[in-house]
Amino acid sequence: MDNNPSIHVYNEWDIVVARQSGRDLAKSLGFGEVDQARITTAISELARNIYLYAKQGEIEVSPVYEGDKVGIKIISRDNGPGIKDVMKALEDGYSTSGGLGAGLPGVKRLMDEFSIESSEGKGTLVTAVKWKLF
Amino acid sequence: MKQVKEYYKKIMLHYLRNPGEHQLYAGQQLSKSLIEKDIPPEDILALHINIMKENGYILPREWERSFQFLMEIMVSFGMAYQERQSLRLKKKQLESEINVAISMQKKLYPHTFEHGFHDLEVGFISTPAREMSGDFYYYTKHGKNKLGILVADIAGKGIPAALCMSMIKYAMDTLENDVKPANMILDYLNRLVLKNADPSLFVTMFYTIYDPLTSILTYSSAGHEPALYYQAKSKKFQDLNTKGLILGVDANVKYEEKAIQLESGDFIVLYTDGVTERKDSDEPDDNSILREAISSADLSLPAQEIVNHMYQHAIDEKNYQLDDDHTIVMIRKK
Repeated sequence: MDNNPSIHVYNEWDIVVARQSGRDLAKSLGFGEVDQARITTAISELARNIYLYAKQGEIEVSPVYEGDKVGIKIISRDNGPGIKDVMKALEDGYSTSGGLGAGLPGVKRLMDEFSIESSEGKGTLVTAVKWKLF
Repeated sequence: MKQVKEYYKKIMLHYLRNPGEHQLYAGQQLSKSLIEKDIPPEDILALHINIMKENGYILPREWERSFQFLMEIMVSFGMAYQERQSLRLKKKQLESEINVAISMQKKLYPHTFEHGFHDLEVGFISTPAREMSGDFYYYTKHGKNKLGILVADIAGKGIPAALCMSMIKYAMDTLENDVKPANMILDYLNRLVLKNADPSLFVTMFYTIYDPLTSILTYSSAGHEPALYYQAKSKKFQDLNTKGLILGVDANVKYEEKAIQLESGDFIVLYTDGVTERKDSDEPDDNSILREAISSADLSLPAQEIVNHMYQHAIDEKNYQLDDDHTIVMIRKK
């Protein structure tokens, strides 16, 4: 279909599909085992957020190139309730999975680049990129 | 980082060939460097597996797969670990801010309590139970001749109490040339606290104003402990109290004012409830601790020494367990 598979996340099984898609792409781009695990975990967290809070949304994984850098881009998109206070959601200790280091702050740490757009009632869009280290 | 990897490889391979406690100890020391360098557990696992593979140790397929599974687990542990690091840093920053707040709070108290004022002698002591005190004492010159002294207890402690305290201090400073009577000052502060402080904060206060021209001491209380009055001639004690609700609760409270005339040697003691509270005993929380201390004191000594004696007696009574702030102020007519 496309170079940018977009996975519709609606139930918990879709999280697994999104993970697989991410891992396959990461592997094909030459990411090492640890980074594959990190990328997959990041996708998992984002997909899980969709599943738990937005009930449905999309995960899109695609390769990115910049000069001779190669990376993987993850986009998480939903029309769910949105996040009222984004700054707080990005603070450690405030995440709903506080103490686990997971959630959005966790994703931010797993990836190299991270951006989020969200407001109450307007859904959430997360974009994250990880570059391959040679 | 590369150095650390090399070192890991060296110790581990050495251990494989010569399994001994020595290498394990070296490993333990190395793990401290790894933690200091913030190396997450998943990186260590990958490093470990790669070293094995690169040095000719074959991993059976099932083991290889099991490590892939373990890798997922380690990534989660790594995330939790990094959150902890981040929170530790945050904690350090907060502690540093609190230290600044503590030193700022210390500056709110009067530096010298003007141990002499006309024919008055003043002694005082104030010790916090923890880093930030909820007790406050202050003095203000009213007009040309009068001296106002307050003792207050701000419920809440910590930074909120310190903020309230600074508000009270600055308010008292603006009243320097004012000749409002003691009860009106409490009225003014009551409305100030009500308006500005958090509803969870309330303040008890005892305010006295001394006029050396008449030797009259007026006083007013906002829910505070009664002052202890000692008359030198009769060697008798009396509690000084007025009706008035704690500050910051009701705008319509009317504060009472009363007066006594001091004679030479007479003194009053203002204090906070930390001093007189007896937690574990059946005895009432009155100021008998102070009365006892005064009865056993040498009253020819300066006021400051008598205050120290009262304080010592109070903490002896409590077996040195100071669970509340302690403040004692003694005002004596020479």
